[in-house]
Amino acid sequence: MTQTSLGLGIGWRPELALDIARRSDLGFVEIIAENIGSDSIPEPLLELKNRGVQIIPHGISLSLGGAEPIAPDRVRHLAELATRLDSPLVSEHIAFVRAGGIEAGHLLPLPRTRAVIDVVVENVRAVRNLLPVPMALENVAALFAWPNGEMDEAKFLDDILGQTGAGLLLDVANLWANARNLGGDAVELLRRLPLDRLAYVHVAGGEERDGTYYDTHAANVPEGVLRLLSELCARADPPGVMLERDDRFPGGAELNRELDAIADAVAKGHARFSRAGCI
Amino acid sequence: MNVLDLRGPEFLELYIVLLVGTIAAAIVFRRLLRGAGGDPPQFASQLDCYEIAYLSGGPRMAVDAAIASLVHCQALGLERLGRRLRTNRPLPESASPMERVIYDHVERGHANVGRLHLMARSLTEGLAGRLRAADLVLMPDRILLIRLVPCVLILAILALGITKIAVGLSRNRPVVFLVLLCLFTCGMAMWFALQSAHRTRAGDRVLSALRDGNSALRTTARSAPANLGHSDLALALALFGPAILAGAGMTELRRALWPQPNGASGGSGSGWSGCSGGSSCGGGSSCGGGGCGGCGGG
Repeated sequence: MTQTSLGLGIGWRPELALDIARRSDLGFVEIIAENIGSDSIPEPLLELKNRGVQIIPHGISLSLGGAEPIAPDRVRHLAELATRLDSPLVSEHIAFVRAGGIEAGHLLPLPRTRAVIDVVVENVRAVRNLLPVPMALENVAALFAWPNGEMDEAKFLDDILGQTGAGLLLDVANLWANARNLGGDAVELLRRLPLDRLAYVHVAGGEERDGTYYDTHAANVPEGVLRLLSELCARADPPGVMLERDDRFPGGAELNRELDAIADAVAKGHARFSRAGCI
Repeated sequence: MNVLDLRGPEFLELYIVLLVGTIAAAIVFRRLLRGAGGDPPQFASQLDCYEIAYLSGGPRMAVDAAIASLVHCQALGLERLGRRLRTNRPLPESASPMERVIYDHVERGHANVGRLHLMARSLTEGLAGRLRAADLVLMPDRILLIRLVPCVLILAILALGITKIAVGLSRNRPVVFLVLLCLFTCGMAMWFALQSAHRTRAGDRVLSALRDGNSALRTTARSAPANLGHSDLALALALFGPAILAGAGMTELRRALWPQPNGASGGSGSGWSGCSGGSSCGGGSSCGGGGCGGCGGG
């Protein structure tokens, strides 16, 4: 997929609308597609669009890893938003959220098997046929791994992206959380991810309870996630990097510090990247 | 011929024509006395949030915005389950004159919100002066004229109708239609008398532009008012009314400022009128809401 330069971004939420409007260096915002009606787009979003800020609809309910057919109206909604907002791309998760008529209410990880890859690829192709813009797929955070996996996460993502032609929405906080909860080396995983397909990057904070790290998007970004972001930017030049914050919203000054910390982490990584002669 | 001697249907026709003409004249009169419209003056962007509050809802709204700001930044506190304010910590040097006026009154013992409301006109005299000089709000005598003259004109029509009812009754004629018309006339007279009219038409334009230019403030204020800085909260209250305090974390403040059961939805008695929606001049508070002083932070 053609990469669109996005810059620094943030997940647009009504609670943050004022601080987002006041931040002049944002190149893009991401909206939760399910929370925005295509015929009732909030005025502040339209103002951002008029200012030249790009807007990416982000789906959370397509259930691309589900065995059930994708609901066409959910895809149509994504497509309508992308059209109305002149979005450069849309994104979704490599996960499933429902099965047998039960809504999980969470993005559930998929078993890393070839059979599941076939399911995801078929679903993604069906969705892309209905979309007017390219699509990026996001790795999710997992608190457990399904038994009998046939490959690691890097190979799993690489195969899906390779077969679908979709871009990579890399959530470094999810990579960091998975390494922390399930073991493994997130930096090593970075090396084997298809970074040439990078569309943009998610960064978020979470909290640890009883020895488990939860990617809650309700706390400041931990130092470890920022270091992993720098590691990523030392190896690749992500078109966009954004903060996700979904609860316990900070005041304007704190939010700006969070965004500045992300920009600093990107700059640090890029400095290493350019010293290596890659930029 | 004496109009009181006209036959019923003929008098009703005359009465309706006179009433419609008088109402039209009253509307034109109100419009003329509220001045010309035109584009919002350039200095609209220099108004501070308490001037905007005054423009939006008059003296009481300015007082409420200052109380909300001072409580939100914890310079003032609210007594539990009451409408009494207390000083929590010293007011910083950067506080605006309006914040200082409210804080000083609370410090001197005028701590009841209701009492501050009663004193609102005198507390906000400084704000009103600049807005009047800029022709954004009306002089008090003009407000009285705008309310009374249309009312008196319509009451004159009502007097004619009541006289004719008396004549009709004395002649044993049916007067039902005329009674209904007189009731309607009475309602119109009251409507004109109670209509809030403290802004000029230029003031309406300025306020509308400010609301349009602060859609991001409106969005955040409606979803998370407690997250706003104190001066943003004051500006949101000024522009979008007490409904923004319906959000989480604002219950005590809302009860203190608008204790009536219907207070949360915005009282028309304060001169509040709903926001206009729309779009335009960039995000944030770029179209106004200059500094409102400060309790620090924000």
